[in-house]
Amino acid sequence: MADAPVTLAGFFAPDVETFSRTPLPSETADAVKEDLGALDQPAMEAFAMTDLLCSLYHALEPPLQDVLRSAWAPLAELREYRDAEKHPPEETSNVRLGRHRIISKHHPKVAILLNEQEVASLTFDVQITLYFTAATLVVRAGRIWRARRCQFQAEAELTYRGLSLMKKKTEAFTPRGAVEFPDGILIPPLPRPAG
Amino acid sequence: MYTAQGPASQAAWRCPPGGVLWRQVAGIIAICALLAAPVTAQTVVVEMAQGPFDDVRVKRALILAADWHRLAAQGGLRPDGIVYRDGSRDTALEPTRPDLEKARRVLAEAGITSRQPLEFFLLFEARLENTADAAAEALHKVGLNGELQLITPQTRERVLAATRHVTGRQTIEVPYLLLRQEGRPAQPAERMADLVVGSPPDVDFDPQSRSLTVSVRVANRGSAPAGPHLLAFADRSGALRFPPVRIETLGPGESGSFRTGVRVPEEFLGRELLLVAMIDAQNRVRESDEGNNNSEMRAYTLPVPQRFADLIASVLEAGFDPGRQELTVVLSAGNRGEQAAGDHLLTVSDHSGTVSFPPIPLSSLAAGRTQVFERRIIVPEEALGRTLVLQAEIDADGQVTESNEGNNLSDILRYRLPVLEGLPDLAITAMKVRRDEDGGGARVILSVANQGSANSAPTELELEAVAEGAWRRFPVPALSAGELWHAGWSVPLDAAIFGRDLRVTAVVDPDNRVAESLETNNSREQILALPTPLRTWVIVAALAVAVLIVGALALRSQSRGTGPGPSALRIGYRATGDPGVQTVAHGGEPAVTFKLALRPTADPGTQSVWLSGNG
Repeated sequence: MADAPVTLAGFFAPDVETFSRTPLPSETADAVKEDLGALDQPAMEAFAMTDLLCSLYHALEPPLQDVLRSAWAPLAELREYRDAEKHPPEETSNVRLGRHRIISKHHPKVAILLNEQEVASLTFDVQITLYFTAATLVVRAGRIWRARRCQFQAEAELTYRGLSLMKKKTEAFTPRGAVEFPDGILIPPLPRPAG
Repeated sequence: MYTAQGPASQAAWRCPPGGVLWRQVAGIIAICALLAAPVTAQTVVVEMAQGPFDDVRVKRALILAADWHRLAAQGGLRPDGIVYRDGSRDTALEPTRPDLEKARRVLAEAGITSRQPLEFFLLFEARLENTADAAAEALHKVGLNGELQLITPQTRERVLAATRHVTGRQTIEVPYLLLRQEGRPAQPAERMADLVVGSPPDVDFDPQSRSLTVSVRVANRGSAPAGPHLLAFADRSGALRFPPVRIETLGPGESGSFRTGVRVPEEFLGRELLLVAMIDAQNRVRESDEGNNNSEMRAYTLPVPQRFADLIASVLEAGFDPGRQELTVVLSAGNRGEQAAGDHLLTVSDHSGTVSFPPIPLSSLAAGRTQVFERRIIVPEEALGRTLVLQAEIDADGQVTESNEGNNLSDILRYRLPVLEGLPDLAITAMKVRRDEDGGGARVILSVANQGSANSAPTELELEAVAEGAWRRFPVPALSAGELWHAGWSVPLDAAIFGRDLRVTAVVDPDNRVAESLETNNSREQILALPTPLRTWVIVAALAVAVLIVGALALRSQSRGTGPGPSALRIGYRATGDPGVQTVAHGGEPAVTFKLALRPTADPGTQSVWLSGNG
């Protein structure tokens, strides 16, 4: 199995050079240029699509770890581990999550600046779907400290105004060793009903 | 000893009277130990029965009373891990330090003491006999009395079934612990690194530079090298951020000390830092133990700064007066510290070695104050045309303790002394004063020479007979270089002056209209002694002749080289095309350039999870 990507960008390309050289569908490229109408001709000539993709690559830098953190923490299956009576602080629990799917949606943005004034902005849509076949969460004192034995596949799609830029389906990943959360992910309580 | 013979065996339990039966129907703690063996991995499993040891305090006491890893080791086993198994749920037991006092307190809350112990069976399979012995001894110390009972795989089910008794409307379950093992195919031993941070970070703080350095020793206790990874230092108080240290490789058994540092902003002094070192911060290295990558925390309080003075000096400007051939340097001395500075010295040096200045002794300089000083020296002619390299130093003798000793030297000011070439130099070269033949007056004869290398412009010559109060100005024509000009003046003498001296002063270019290479030779004085002639007096007295030419003209005090200095600095010098001056030619169309930039903004996004069943 390959090593899991560290950031969202890794689902699309191994490095920024590969990412920025990805040929875009002409329809999508036209939509981007149309939305850059605020730039005059000399500025448009200075503007390169590879630069845009290079900047977009950097906007996809949220680490995979943060996605997992936000997805797992609110799981109802983990709420009981907040109960110190049932699970004393010194007790370590291995909580197995069976098959599950995490869908993560993002809207990275690239702003175009002329002399440091923003003249245009392009907002993209990213959806990463992680299909987990297994994951074991190590829980102690109401926090998730690491995820072990994680195996998953991923689908990643990058679009602009509904038009596809890139779509990737990846092979199975397994993070090397355990996925550590050094400060622990606090398992939140049930949200209180309104009113 | 319990035997599976039915209710009569309950007597062997010595059930306490009263309503404590519920404790004895507490359940079973499943202890699962993974035993590493050369060929097969062994798993010790105890099934969880419903009810037994349900009290979490009793479960907790089992963990507090013994380190199960050690118990397994005492039994000759090498556990890979100890796990609670509760139904389908595994809970790993980490190696712990037993705390018997705490275990007793917890059990006391559950009503279990040495006087009212919990009796249970400690069932074990043959291979785990030593482990069971050690466990029984450890648990006995806290009031958990296990009666050892060997079982075999053939008798196990029957024994467990016999632990349940239905009597009337309630079911009594006998508490027991069962140590058993299961075999599974062993994984081939994998060589992995094991990065360990041994101790809390060491801290070194330099209050002068406010530089904070943290260091820690890192070791690889594993059997495989550790590839590139990061050593990170964190301050849990949130005050400081440290740059991580990149470690390229650390071989098995190798160790090293690594450090990083940061400059502490002044506003953080006095704060307590909570420092932690984390090896393999990005979890790049596959390790046999991922749980020992963090050091213990070290609390470190940054020292509160003492208040000191902080002296700085500047050479503000320099100027040269060619007329006086005098160099003036303006210095400033300031104290931007928080404490007044005591006596110290301010010096200004010329690193070119052309001129030198005496040091300026300074008394106390209050915090926040700045003083400005002027120093003047006469520059020798051979120094003209040379470039001075001026630098001031405050507290040159190191008398003052400062918060920053590194800023006592000023910036260097370079100043080129002008070359006074091509200037005239008017000088009174010869002057005589004698009495007229008839004795009624005095005759002044003098010469003015242009000793410079350039022609002089027309100017004036002023003569004054001080005692007589007579003076006169004569026009002096333009003189070419080397030319002489002569003048004469007859001064009538008042009879009253006889018996005194006649002092005659001549000044060429009294208004200083002509720029000269030397301005100090423009004046000359001669004294004529006048004895008192009686006969003359008689004649004068008889004739009452006294014609005085009175003029009122005060000699302008040139104060060349005398009198108090100006209250404000006056610098006059002639520019000679200093090569240091650049002129910029303007013209042509300016080029306008816009900077086009792209700024990415990441989005943490939203996540949703779809479960299809736990494993």
